[in-house]
Amino acid sequence: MLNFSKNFSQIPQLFKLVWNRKRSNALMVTELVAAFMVLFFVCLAVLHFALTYRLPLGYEYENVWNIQAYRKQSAEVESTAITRQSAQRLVSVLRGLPSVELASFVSTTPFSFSHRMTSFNRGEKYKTEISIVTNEFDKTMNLTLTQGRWFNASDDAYNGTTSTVKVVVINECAAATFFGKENPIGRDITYIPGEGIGKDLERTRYRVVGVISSFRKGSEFDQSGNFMFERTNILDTTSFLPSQILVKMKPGTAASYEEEMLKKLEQTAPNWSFQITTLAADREKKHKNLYFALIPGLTIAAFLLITVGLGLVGVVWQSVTRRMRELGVRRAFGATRQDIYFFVIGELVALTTFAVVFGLFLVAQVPLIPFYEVPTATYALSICAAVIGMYILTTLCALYPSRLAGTVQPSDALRYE
Amino acid sequence: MTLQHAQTLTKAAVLELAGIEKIYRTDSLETVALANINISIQQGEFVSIMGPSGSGKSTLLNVLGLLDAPSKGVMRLHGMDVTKLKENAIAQVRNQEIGFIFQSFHLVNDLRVLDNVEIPLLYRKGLSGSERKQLALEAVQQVGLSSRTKHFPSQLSGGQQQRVAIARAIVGKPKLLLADEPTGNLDSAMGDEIMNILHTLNREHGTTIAMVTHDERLAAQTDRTIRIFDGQQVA
Repeated sequence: MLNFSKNFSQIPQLFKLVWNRKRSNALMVTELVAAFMVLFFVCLAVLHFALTYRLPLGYEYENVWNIQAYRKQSAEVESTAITRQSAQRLVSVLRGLPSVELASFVSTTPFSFSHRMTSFNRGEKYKTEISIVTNEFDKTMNLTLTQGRWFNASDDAYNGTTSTVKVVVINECAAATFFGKENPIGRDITYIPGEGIGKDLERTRYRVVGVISSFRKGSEFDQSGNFMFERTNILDTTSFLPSQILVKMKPGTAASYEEEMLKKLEQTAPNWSFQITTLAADREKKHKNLYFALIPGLTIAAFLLITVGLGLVGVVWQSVTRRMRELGVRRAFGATRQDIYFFVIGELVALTTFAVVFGLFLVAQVPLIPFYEVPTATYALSICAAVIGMYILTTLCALYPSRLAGTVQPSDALRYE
Repeated sequence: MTLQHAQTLTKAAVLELAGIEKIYRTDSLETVALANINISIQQGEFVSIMGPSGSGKSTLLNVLGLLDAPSKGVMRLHGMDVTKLKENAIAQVRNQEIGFIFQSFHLVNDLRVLDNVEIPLLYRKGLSGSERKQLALEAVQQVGLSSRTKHFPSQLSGGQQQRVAIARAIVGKPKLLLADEPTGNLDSAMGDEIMNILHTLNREHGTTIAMVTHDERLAAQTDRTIRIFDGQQVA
């Protein structure tokens, strides 16, 4: 059993030894700093995704089907008014189906890979993701309104390209970005036309009518960014017609119902094509895409850490072998096996402390990296996890060599050449 | 039996060996390094151990210093049978009762003189850092190296390094000092210096010393000589 009061008296000498051997230890410290950095970035990625995953999405994706609806290229040319009527009929037919609760047009669906980022001006330029939806979207996705109201028929006055004012609902993140702690309801933000084209266009004002709690369109792994919903009326030929319909199905609807739904849609609009998926399937696809990117990265990191670990075992082992006489002297003067275990492990822990101090200096520069968007709490937690991880890693790496050092008899150690 | 209890049993004999044997065994070979060694070393004695190379002197010293366990026989330190002690208890006895001086000094090159001398005290319970430092300074002073406490071993002469090794051996105030050819790596002048220190420790501090040597001249300076030949005690 370790006698800690006795073992701890070796600590000042351990640090002296590490310091006095700084030249020969420099390479090992460099290796430890590299391991610390790898561990830090692994912790940062894992914690970032784990903590972000726990945040509310802001909507419900279960039992929501996603229909991609677009006119066939081979179809005869028809007037915009007829297209809009077809779109309206599609929604009406869907709503009439016994398994359907609600249906809404939307320009970009949750978990999709496409997004539309637009810059808005409110004193400063802020990028905001925007989605164009019909009135029923809030209920289809079960959004949580925290201030103001959702769109309704009274907003028709703001429809179309001719209107210089549009009504929007924003998420709380956007409300905080644009208005801070002020009440955003009834306030305007301005669209900044792109550089070059549209530079001379009159700036459109977006009037906030409501605020929803959160809307993380990407997936559970995406942070909550600025998000804005713009209203459209599909019968208004000057308004934008989204190409996707989200349908809230009644719970327990079988997947086989998709065929029946498709048949109905094709009967309603023969010139249109349809592709039906579920948001749950889209979510899975999005997650797989992330894992596809993450797994090789984590595998490389794990490989690097294993390599560093094996390297450390080798270096400590060599150090123990090289200093067998010193260990023999310590045994001769009363060190027990446990004292030697503690000494060998302690020396690597002392080296790790030097490496961690240097590593912390490097890690402190990470928030200065452009596009770095990790919350401070995650960053701080990652540092703590990396520090703890480093001490665990080095202790594990020193276990076997320390055992080797402890089992050598003092007389053998003193004779060691 | 506690160490304190054992210390009260036999005051006169510091060390008693009865029928000690040391046999090294491999799969196909059995080498008898020591056979039927019977020695008694009294409190305050300065004993030399002589014998040709390979006769078993160093093995005997290792056994005396509890660095190696005998294969057979009984060994008593202050009357306590140390052959029956567990490993950690043996380490404690070594720490408190025995000091070692090696032919090639065995100093830690990356530690300064004072830190080298302090080593035995690191393994002793109940000493604060300042107490350890004070004891180490006293030991260094005793060997006349007060001005070299911040030097590294490589910055010292062979004789000075051996003096540091002696300071390290006596810092814990052991009753028994075991020296394995302490002047073997030194010229005669430096060797004499070391012998003077050992004599002073023996006469003025009553430290019991067992010293392995090849040198008849040095052996003649000791109270008694134990001669070993082919692992056997011949005198």
